[in-house]
Amino acid sequence: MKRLLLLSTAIVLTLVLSACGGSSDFSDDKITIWAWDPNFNISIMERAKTIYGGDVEIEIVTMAKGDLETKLNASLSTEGDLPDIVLIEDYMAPKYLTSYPGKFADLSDSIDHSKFIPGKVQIGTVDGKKYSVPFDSGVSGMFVRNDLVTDADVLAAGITGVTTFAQLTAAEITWDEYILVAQAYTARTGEAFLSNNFADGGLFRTILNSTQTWYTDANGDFDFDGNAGIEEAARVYKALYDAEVDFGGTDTEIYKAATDWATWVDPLANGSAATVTTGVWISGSVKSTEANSGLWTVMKTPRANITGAVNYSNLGGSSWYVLADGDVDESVDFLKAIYQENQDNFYDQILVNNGAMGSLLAAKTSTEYQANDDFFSNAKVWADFASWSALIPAIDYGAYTYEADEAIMNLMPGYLDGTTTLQAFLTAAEAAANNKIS
Amino acid sequence: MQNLLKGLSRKKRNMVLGWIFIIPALTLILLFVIIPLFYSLFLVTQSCRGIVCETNFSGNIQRLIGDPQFLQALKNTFIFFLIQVPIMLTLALIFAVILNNPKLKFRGVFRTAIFLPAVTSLVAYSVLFKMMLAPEGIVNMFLEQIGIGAVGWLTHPTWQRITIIIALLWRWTGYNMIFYLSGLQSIDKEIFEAAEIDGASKLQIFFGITIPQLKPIILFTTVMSTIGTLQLFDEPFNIIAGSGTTISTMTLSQYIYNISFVYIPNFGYAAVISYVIMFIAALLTIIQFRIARET
Repeated sequence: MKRLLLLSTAIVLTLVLSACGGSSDFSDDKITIWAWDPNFNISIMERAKTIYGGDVEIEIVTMAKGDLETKLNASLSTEGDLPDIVLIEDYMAPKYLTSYPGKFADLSDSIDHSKFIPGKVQIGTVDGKKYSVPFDSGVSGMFVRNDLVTDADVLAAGITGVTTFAQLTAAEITWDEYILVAQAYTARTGEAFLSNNFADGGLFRTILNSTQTWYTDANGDFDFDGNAGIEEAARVYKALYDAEVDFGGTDTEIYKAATDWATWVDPLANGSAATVTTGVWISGSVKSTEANSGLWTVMKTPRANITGAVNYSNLGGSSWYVLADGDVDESVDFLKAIYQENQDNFYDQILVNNGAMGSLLAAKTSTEYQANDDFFSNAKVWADFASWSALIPAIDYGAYTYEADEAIMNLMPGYLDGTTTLQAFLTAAEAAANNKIS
Repeated sequence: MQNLLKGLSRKKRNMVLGWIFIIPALTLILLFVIIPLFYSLFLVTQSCRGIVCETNFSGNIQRLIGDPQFLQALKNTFIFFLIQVPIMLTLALIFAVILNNPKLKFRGVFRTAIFLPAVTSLVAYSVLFKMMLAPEGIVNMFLEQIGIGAVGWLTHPTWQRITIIIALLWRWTGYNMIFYLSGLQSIDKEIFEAAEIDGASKLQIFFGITIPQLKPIILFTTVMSTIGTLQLFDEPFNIIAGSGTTISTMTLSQYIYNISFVYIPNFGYAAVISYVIMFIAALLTIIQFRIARET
């Protein structure tokens, strides 16, 4: 009887204690890092870990980007399991920083932010406190397979004066010209010219950023209806979706429909999509297929067909953040040595191996940035990307990029199918976005 | 212990011992059901953005009334409920009657085959469905071979719903069939024999005897399926989310999840919607009991 009572008391106590637990201090002298994309962020952090060496144990946890963001939200709001360092995308950073005050370590004094690109530092700054260790740029470009897009009639299809591949890649083309070339390519080969997930806003944001507009107006309020940039990006999406050609008697689309990261990236490796237009960070995935070395060329991003639009844009890009309850000192020492002090020319290494454009100002002057890359047809792609990144329209993304993005993408199918007009679509999306943040 | 109970009457002693035995279970219920329940009553008055909360009950209600996503989720949930549940229960009943026939060979094999989906992991089968129904998956390859052409199972809004319904049917029909089978076996065989001798046709027996006799079980499965559909989460989350826009398959439970973890957490508003689900489930159950009593 006594034993039974003891046992039940023990069980109850354990339950009560574990329920009250959730200790806020999880310092364990081991640096845990959460990030996504094995070919890029993870591979880069593994390199940083190797360079840093030292006595500190570093554990890098790979998650899908969406899973990481969900887990981070859940853990931050419920005192759950958290890493010491986490990668946060620029579009998301202001939202995390303002929604979880005190959860992220203020790095204003421990990191010298003047050594990084000012615009990048600004994204991780709230109320004058700088929280980020700036990482990569999302400067965009169009990657083209030079072995696939070769026929003169394909090249000449859309752009006056272009008859060679070199002329195409040197040109500043518009999305409408891009679609004409794509149609000619698909009509000749039966293959897709691009892979795109029409439920994903990535390409949409790339187009939008290049038009010098965003989801929000100057006051930070959502502004979809009557926003020339959004209307143009939607028009381009629909044009890409609708453009089909007659190949062997059947209507064939110019795109390969992707449903997730893998189905988006795989066609790049096996040649079933001849181009991809996205952030420079895709070079990690492009380069992961070594057999394709020399077959890719990089050119400027296609331009939207409205005034003010340019051939330069940005997609994504992210920075490292340190959790206030973790091993802050160890984490900062590590990030500082690698990302701020550029130990062992870290930035050159990740540029060459992963195609990563860092945000450290000093790194831009290194010789590697001026070198030819034989994977990309032996061109000076990194110097190109570096110069393009200076020309990206500067935009304040605000805190709610993904709320806007989801509202638009949720209603996109109706617009693509032609069941809703552009105006009805954008009005409804704006209302949905506003409801999300009310 | 013995000293503690000494001097108490037998009745009182039993009572004290009884309480001691149920304390562990009570503590668990208190911790994981009762306290959260009361906490959720507090939560509905809060509007949060991460860990920054403010009291705003009327704001939550206003948001709920004008929330197109909530209405969409409600509509989706009811589409699944109104289409999938009747098909599933009818199929389950037909399977049960067929498999109850003692003359049928390999009954055990069929029963196991139809019930097996119910014991597979939700995530595992969702991933398999997702692979098979991918744009260039095995199903579309087959459809293209026979000349029908590929179908946007995971990407087209209407087909996404059909995909979910097919998945749910595959997963849950066998589960409900088991209830009907056990119900059928508890019906006295003499009733069937008497009806047969009286010259009743198979259909007459089915509608005149089988269904009325199974009424309590049909009611039970209907109520369980209703609640199950209102809580539907796994299939839309694992099969559709990430593949295409989720607007046509997002259920109420998934919307709650999104508000709690995918968007910046707003547990207050999420609690409001969970109460809506609770009221709908209670209402539907009451209606079903009424209908069952009247017929």
